[in-house]
Amino acid sequence: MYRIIQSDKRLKERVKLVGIGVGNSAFEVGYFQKTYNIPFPLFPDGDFSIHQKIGEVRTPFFICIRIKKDGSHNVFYSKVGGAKDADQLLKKLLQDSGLL
Amino acid sequence: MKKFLIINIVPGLILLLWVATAFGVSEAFKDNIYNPGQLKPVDSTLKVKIGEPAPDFTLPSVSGEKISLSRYRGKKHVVISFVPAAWTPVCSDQWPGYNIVKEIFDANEAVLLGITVDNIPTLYAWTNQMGDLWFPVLSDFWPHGAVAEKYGVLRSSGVSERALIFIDKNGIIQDIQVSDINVRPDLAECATTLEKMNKK
Repeated sequence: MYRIIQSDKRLKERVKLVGIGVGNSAFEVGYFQKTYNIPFPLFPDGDFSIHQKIGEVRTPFFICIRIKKDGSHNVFYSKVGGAKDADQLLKKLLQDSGLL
Repeated sequence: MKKFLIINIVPGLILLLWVATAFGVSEAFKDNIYNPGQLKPVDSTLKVKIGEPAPDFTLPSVSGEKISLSRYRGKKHVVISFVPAAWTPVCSDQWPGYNIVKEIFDANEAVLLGITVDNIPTLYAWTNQMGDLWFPVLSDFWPHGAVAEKYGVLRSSGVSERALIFIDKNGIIQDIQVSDINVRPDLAECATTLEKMNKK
């Protein structure tokens, strides 16, 4: 999904992907990133504080947020489950966001 | 230390947040994890010491093989990971985590042995749910907790502590880490200890 975003000049400027490692330390997230060559930023959440703020969701979980022109935001997608088809999911997210 | 999640907020930005790992809260384990609540952090007294020979044992494994600690003597360093119980949140996070750092074990000529007091069918079902684990999973079910008792990591409730025992190729204990049962040990400490043991 990241590579698709990065290969499109318009999307690259407008869409950012970050990962949250629930229950993982900085070492673990760093090692995971290096081992699996994850090109986007990953953040450790070793004490589960981010997980608690999000609502202690089951994983994997995708949350998509639109930052509006006035700086406010809305969550337009929030669902458990991975991306079986990255193209299809990304297309749906971009449509839901109003970007497509 | 407070951590900050800083994202360059740009109007019109779409932010995709991927929340992952932590098998204990994964969808795969949904409705199948039993949360025992907060427990007394440590509830045992060690019977082994750093610098002493590690007590040998033979236990059945999920693969069907009986595995003895002594089979690794002269060949590999051994890390024994005692975890309290199958189908509980922290244990369900801890063992899959070792899959990510298998390279560190290989680089330091070490193997991992996972041990709980659960029986083989329980361990089979639980580890199957996790996906493939690269290390042997051993049952200390009968005589109940005998190996955990030998090492002094059997709790009064009948489960083992959350303990890592680092044993060198000569069979000598190089480090013992009995952690708070409620908290998964950071892989960083395991990696550091492995590297230190292999350098000796």
